Amino acid sequence: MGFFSGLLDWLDERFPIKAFYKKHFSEYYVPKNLNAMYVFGVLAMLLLFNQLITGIWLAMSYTPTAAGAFASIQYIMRDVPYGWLIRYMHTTGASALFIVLYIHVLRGLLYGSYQRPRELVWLLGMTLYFIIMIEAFMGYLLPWGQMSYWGAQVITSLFGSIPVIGKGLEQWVRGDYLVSGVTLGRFYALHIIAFPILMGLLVYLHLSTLRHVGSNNPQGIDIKKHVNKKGVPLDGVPFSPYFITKDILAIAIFLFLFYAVIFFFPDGFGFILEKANFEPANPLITPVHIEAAWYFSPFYAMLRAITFSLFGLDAKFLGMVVMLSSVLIVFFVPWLDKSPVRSIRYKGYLSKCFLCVFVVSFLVLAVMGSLPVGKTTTWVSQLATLGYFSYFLLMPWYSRVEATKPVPERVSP
Amino acid sequence: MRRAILITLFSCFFSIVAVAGGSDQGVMTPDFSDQASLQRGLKIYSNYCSGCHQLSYMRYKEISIDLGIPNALFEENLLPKYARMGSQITATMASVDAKRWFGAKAPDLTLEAKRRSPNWIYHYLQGFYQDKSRPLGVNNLLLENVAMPNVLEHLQGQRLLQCQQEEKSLKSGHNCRTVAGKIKGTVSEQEFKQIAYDTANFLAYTADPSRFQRESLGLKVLLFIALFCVFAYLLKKEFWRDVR
Repeated sequence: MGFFSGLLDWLDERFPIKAFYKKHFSEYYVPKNLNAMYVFGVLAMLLLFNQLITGIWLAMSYTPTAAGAFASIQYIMRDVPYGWLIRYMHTTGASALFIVLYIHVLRGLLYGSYQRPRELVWLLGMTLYFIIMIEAFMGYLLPWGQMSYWGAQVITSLFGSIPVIGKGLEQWVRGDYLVSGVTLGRFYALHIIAFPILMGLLVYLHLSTLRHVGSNNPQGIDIKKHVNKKGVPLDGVPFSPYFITKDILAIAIFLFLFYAVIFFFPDGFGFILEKANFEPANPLITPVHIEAAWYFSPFYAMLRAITFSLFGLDAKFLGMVVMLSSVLIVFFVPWLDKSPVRSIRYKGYLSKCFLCVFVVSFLVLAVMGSLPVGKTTTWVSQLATLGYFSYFLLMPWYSRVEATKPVPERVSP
Repeated sequence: MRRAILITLFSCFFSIVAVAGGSDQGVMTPDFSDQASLQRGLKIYSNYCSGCHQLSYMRYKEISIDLGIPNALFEENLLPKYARMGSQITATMASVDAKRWFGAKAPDLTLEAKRRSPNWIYHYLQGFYQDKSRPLGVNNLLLENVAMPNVLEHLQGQRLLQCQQEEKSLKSGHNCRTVAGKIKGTVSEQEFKQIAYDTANFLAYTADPSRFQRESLGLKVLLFIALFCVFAYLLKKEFWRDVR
């Protein structure tokens, strides 16, 4: 005992380990009324860690060349001991990460977690999400299957639709006239080195800004208003051990579901691993139906929903602008929401309606993006795109005019 | 016992899928526990497919282990003279020749069951019919103008196309199936179905060989996590008891 406390003191003199533990664990106070929606942050972190570790092991056996990529994946799946497990953890992990992130963002929208003073937490989180999207897109090319190849071909061709600089930009991104081994090489480098470093930095910033302002809660009540003599919030409980034990339970339940998919439904019925990706990439044969990965499906549907040219601008370019705006507009929510209350529980009827419209539109777009293009899918997508944007663009109006309910002073669990 | 419960659950699930599918010829569900079927599938592959189609991501040794064929027996009877047990399974036909003779490369079959489905292979093998307009005299219901000859014809016998003209309002136009022709095969219709099943089952296995290991390990992992969940719940409950 004496040795370990001595070691701890030795460390603490050189690095403030005790103060750190106090500040972030034993004396970091979290609202006691957090519900199940609040576990998705820690699950996202767990999955990012899962992607990092399994990614390192995949990189040990993967060959980032046009000739060798597809075969090296099969080598991992068959000849590397437990390679199939590592790879399924990585592919299922990517899909699970997006499910978790969508719920995590929805939680923020439900309880107004983006409002003052948490704007920076929101902005950093959204930036992280945007980077994860690019990371996932680049990772999707690496198996070098038909859908990988043509998905990358379609998305990189969007750069080509930008007026004037488009064609040059498209070639610059691909490093070739079309997606090729050169593109694969650069996507691999960015996927395994550049973006993970960036993501690590953003996770750190997202978490440290959160720790500075503290968590919101389902009622949107500021727990720092009511403190005891020592300055401890009356409605807060220390992160350790209360939320440590709660998070462990959440992680355990999540892992059960996660591994059930990995071991028994690793293809995810064609949603996690698409059928077309079991065929090596062939630049000479375009698949009839090019489909985005399911987690990009809503955005892909918005891209395809724009079928008309406007002001002399190409429909493809406008589609790209709409798709990009659909992600960027979420960044501005802290300034679009003019409501005096945070939580949906005390907001008015209009806010609830528009949030419903938003969620339904998002789900409808997800379905439309996975279906082949047709007349019906196009107009349904257009309608759902309007629904998606109306939630954000009309927010300054409906969040201001509606009557809100009074917010209680203290939280009730 | 656990395995039995799981298999029952799976077959229930797949029979629901099968009913929903509603095909008149029935839906083929792979059964990896039927080792005899997988071995018969390997036999069909070796005798009829392996000349042209590779299984290039598969190794002989892996098949011998997974299908319970003793190493020595496999080496003596199933291993080509040019290959070793650790080799990947290649075809003898060069792709240059394939292009010259058939107009197309013979696809690698390792992942065919994942790229399409085991059920597709099952019906494809039964879907050949006589068609004079084609260079090889046969066509296929599932893959129109296919370049592959009907290599199983002497087993199945010749089949003829029979189409039923449907109402013109229907988009599909007509509903076609194949019926027995004049030249009979060496096996009965039921036996041929079994041959198609075994081949599809074997290819389902080559597309997903880790499934053997995966599902047995999966049960242990899930059982462990379930147990862990109980303790995690009790721990959480104990700590949160004093929070009101």
